[in-house]
Order: sequence, then structure tokens, then C-alpha cells
Amino acid sequence: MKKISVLLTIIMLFSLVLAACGPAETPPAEEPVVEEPVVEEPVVEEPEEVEEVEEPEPVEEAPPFEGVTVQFWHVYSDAPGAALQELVDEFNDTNPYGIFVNALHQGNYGDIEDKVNVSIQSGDLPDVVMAYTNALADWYSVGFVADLNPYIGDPDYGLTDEQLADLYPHLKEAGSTPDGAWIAYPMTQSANVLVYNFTWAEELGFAVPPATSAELKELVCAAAAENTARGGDFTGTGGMVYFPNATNWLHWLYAFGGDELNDAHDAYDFTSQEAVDTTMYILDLKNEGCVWQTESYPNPEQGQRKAIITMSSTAGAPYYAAAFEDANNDDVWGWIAAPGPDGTLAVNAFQQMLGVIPSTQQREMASWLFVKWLTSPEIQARWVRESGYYGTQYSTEALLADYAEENPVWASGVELAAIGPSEPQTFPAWSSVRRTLNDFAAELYNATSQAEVEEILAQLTQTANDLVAEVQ
Amino acid sequence: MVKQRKKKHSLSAMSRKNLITYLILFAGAFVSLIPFIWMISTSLMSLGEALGTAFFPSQLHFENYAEAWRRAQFSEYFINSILITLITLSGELTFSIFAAYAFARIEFPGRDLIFSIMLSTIMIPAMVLIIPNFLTVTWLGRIGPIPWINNWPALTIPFMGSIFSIFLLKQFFAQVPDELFDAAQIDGAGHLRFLFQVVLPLSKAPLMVILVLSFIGTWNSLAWPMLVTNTPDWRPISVGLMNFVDEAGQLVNLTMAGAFITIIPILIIYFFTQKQFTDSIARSGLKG
Repeated sequence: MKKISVLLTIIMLFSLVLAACGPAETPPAEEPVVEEPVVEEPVVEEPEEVEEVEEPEPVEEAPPFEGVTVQFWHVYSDAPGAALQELVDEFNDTNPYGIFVNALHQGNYGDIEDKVNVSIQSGDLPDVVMAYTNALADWYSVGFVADLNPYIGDPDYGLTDEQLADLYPHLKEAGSTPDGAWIAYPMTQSANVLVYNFTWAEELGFAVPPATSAELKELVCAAAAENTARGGDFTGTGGMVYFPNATNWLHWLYAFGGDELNDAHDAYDFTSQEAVDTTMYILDLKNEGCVWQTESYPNPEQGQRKAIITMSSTAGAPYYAAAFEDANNDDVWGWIAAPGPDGTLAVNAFQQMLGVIPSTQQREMASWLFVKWLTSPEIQARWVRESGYYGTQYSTEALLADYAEENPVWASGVELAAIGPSEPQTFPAWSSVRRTLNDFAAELYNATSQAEVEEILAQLTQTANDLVAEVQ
Repeated sequence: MVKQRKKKHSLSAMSRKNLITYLILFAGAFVSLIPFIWMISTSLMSLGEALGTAFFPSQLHFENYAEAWRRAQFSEYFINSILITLITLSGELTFSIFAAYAFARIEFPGRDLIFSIMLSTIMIPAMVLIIPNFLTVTWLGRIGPIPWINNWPALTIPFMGSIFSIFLLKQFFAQVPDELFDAAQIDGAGHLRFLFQVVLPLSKAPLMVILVLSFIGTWNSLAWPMLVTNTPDWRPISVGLMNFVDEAGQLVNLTMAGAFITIIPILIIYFFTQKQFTDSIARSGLKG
């Protein structure tokens, strides 16, 4: 009893001591420093009346952004985090503008979204933030992301026509709002792709990856038939693992030549013939027993030859490698694009986007200069080697020939990264529409007739446009 | 003879009843332990094996623990978590004890109304409070002598005023007989001495409940620390576990190794306070 009282007293005393002496000892741990923009114009004072005027000593001109600190919030920790920090350190040491970048890991994309949302209320925002495009679009709509067009087009600090032409064609559109504001600049890319077992496909008589959706059906059905013939655990497996969600359904929609918007591109429209054909194609594969579902990520199934094709982000390469290794499977595997009926190839491309938060013109320009440096081909190529993502420019690709040779799986996705397209993340209410689409994708997968599919797609269109009306 | 048979019959009925009870308890314990066993088992697997459906590892990968420790920067975060937990617990116990004592044993105008208002705040979901709390700590950091964001005050002070703890202690303090207070007064004791020498020693059980529950809550917190810290300087151990998650998946084996490392202090605390904790649960009628 006595011991407990002593313990409690100690704890309370400890708290009082901490409260009393904490402030003096705790350093103000790297609070975002809000610095006043440097006034470039020299202050001219009225000269006092003096008889002898001495010649002023020549003063070295300060760099144009001397003293500007750019806060950069990103999602990378562990080895990629350390590699990114090295790049930032290099920028701080070598940039001729006098800019200092403070790079801060803030958790994953969801954490950053939460943090920016609350920081909008408190005013403690970073200068450059890494986020999904839809989050940047949401912040832009309330005035908390800057339009990069003036900086990209700046004659001194912007991009040249050659540099702009070097960027993969779909990326400007992916980062721009319908009104033309360029709000999200791509640092790197990843994509939802088809994970393809080349060795097994060859054994089944398919020497090259399927060029059309009909060829793909033939392949996955052949793999499913082979596994069903093997029996046991393999019965009902072998074809393509398809998880019905927004990412995968849209991926196939793009391959079938469709998209999410109407012809005028001013409203959502999921009732196109392409959307119907996409869904009917997936249902056809399902009804033939050529696609199936797993409870979790399908990496082990692909490693064990229970699926010849699965759908995944290219960022999932390490997990697939581990699954193949664990299954002692030496098959050659890699990424391919989804083929449409007419041979259109598509992936669902995602970008690791950077946005600049509005502040003073000087800070915004300093932020842009850092973004420009970080995404320049040489630096981007170094970052790709560390992160395993894909570049955003043709010239980056050229710098990575040796890396591609050493990493055949990565190499199989290089061309795909340039294809796109990307989801319309800057279109109003896309975050909400996407969440809704996840539910509808599951409904579509369970539809039993074309009429039902058409009805679900009409409902989806209505719901999506209602969501737009809510935010406008 | 008949009596003996009756006794035998009732004994066997009793043991059958016990057997069923033990079977149910055993099943419950087994179900509760499965996630824990799975965590340890997965922590010893290779990544490929952990991604699959195996329950037990084919080979034991003890090196996962060293790798998890290194990659999650646990050596840094561990110290932060200990400091944050100690400060929070100290503050919570201090404020809860004094507040509960005042509500239980001191008459003052509006006491019941204030207590009712405070109690009603328990109904507000924690997520709803995040933005107001964030704005408050930001503002306090601006007007106060020390920064709150990215520092220990934002991580600890908002959790020092726990209505649940005040409520729990108040209920116990109110049960202490008035005669004891009268006797203490005759001996010359004031409220403070009565609190420390009589009330607190009698309230060991609820104090242990608060200690354990607050420890677990503070040790495991993630969303709030991520929100109010910008650098690793004050980030707790749970943040380290996030290093194993990326946009395409999770290093499940390392996550589980890290998770096991993070719960070791909770297990130690529970091991030492187990008796008081279960006693107090039984006495207070709390359910988990």
C-alpha cells in the first residue's frame, strides 16, 4: 500500500518537475520557419551632408532567393527517405539561388492529406507537398494549391519548349484542372498493370503477350483449363485474378477505348458503349471460369502458378519477387498493358505529384525551382534507381538503360509508363466518385445480364453527377 | 447410501458443469490468443511466406527482429514513446486525482452541473475533436513560451485531462465513508492529507486501471502524433511501424516483428499490475 502511495507521489512530482523545467531545456524542434521574403531592392537612405564622400566598397550581389526556406512534405521513409534526403542536401549545397529546402517525412498519402487539411485551418502549411492529384485538386478548389503555369512559363526560371516536349504527353493533362490550371507536377510515375508470367504463357503456346482482348481471353482460359486439369488446390485457378474495384475496372475501360467523362468533358458519363463492353468482357471471362478472385493481394497465387495474370501497381514488384522466390519458381514475369478489342494498350497510370502551396511570389518561385530541379532528368534518373518508380520524361528513360538491363521486370514497364492514361483526378468530386465506383465495380462484377449492367452504369453516372452538384 | 449417491450425483453434475465452463473459457482464450500467435509466427517468416496463407514458418527468421528494429528506427522512437507515456501518465494521474477528489468530496457551487457537462463530453467521438485540438495546441504554441507542435506539450497535455479517469476515480472516492474524513479532521488532517493518506491507498484498484489503460492508449497512439509532429524528434514507436507500409503493400513479416517489439512494454506493465488490474475490473464492473 505504502509503495503505491510512494509511486504515485513520485509520478506526480515527476510531472511537476517536467512542467517546470521542460520549456527551458526543450529546443524548438525544427518548427516550420516562416521567413519574410527578402526585399531585393536596396534601401536608399538620404545622404547626410558630408563634405568628403568615400567610395563605397563593391558589395557581392546576394543570390536572388537567399534566405528562403522551402518546407517540403513527402511520404518517403526508410531507404527511399534517406535517398531523397541526400538529393535534397545536394540541392541545398549546390543551388545558385540560395534556397534551403527542409524535407520532412509526414507519413503516407493519407496522413499528408489529413495534415494538410488541419494545417489549412491553422495556417502552418508547407511550401511543397507530395500528394495524390485528387487531393491537390481539392485543395486548389479552396485556394490552397498554386497554379504552376506562371512559373513553368517563366522566361528565366521556367521550362523551355524542349523540356515541355520531353514530358510524357498525358502528364500535363493529368496534373491540370478542367480550367487549365497546372496544379500537380509529376515527380515520378507508377501504374496499375497486368502482371504477366512469360514462361508459363510460352509453355501454353503464346510466344508473345496478347495483343487484343480476344487473345488475352484465349490465354487466361487456356491457363485456367490447365490448372483445372491438374486438380486439387489448382481447380478453379490459373486464369486471371480480377478484384473488382475502381482501379482495375477503369484500367480495362481505358483498354476498351472508354473514359469517365461525356464527349463535352463537362460531366461524368459511364453509360458509353465502351463501358458496357468492358463489363460484359469481364463477366464473360468470369462465366467461362477464366477469372477468379483471391481474398488478399494475389502475389502468392501468381508465384505458385495459380494465376497467369494478376493486376497490380508496378510499385508491388518487391512483393511479387518475394512470392516467386518463396514458391521456388524461376518463371520469367513482368508487366504488360491491358489490350483492348482493337489492340489499344492501356495502363492506369498514377503519378507521385508535387504541389506548391500559395504564399508570396518569391517563395512560390523558390518552391518551383526546387520542384524543377528534383524532376530534372539527371536527378529523376537517380531517384528512379533508388525508388523503383518510373520517370516522367523521355530523356530520363535514356539515362536508365543500364538500370533497365539489370532490372528486367522494371524494364518491362518503361514503355507502359509513357502510355497512360490517368484517372480524371482533377475533375470535380473525383475523390468521392472514385469511392462510389469501388462499390459499383463490385455490383457490376455480380451482374447477370447486359440490361442489368446498363442499369448499374446509369445509376453510377447519376450518382457521380449528383456528387459533382454537391460540391459545386 | 442414498445420501452418498446423491452427493456423488451432485458432484458429477458439478464437475460436468465445471468442465463445460472450462471448455468455453479455453475456447475463448484460444480465440483471443490466435492473433497473438499469428503475429509471432508471421514475424519469423520470410516475406514470401508471410504474404501467403501459411500459419507457421517453415524456417525461423529471427533476423527479422533486428531488421525491424533498424529499419523502423526503434532505438530513437522507443525513448520518445517512454517519455511521452511517462509525462502523459503523470499529468493524467495528477489532474484526475485532484479533479475527482474535488467532485467527490468538496462542495462548491455548480459542482454537479460542471461534472455533468464534463461527463457529456465522453460522448463526442475522438475524431471530431482532432481539428479543434490541433487548432488549440497550435494557438497555445504561438502564445506560449515554448512551441507545442513538434514538441512534448502537443503530444501529452491534451491527454492529461481524461474525463473517463476523473469519472472512475470520482465514483471510488465518493464511496470512502465520511466517518473516515471526520476522524482524519479530528486528527488535524486537511483535504490534501486525507487524499494522500486515506483515499489514495484505498483506491489502488481504479488507479491501476487508469495506469494500464492510459499506458496502452498513449503507447499505441498514431494519428495524433503524426498530426502534431513534423520531424522524428518526438515521434513515438508506432510511427516506426509505418515504415513497412507503402502504396503497393506491406512488409508483413517485419510489421509483425515490429508490432511484437512495440507491445513488449505493455506486456511487462500488465505482468506486474495484473492482480490489481483484474481486481479493479471485478470491483468496478468495467467490461473490456
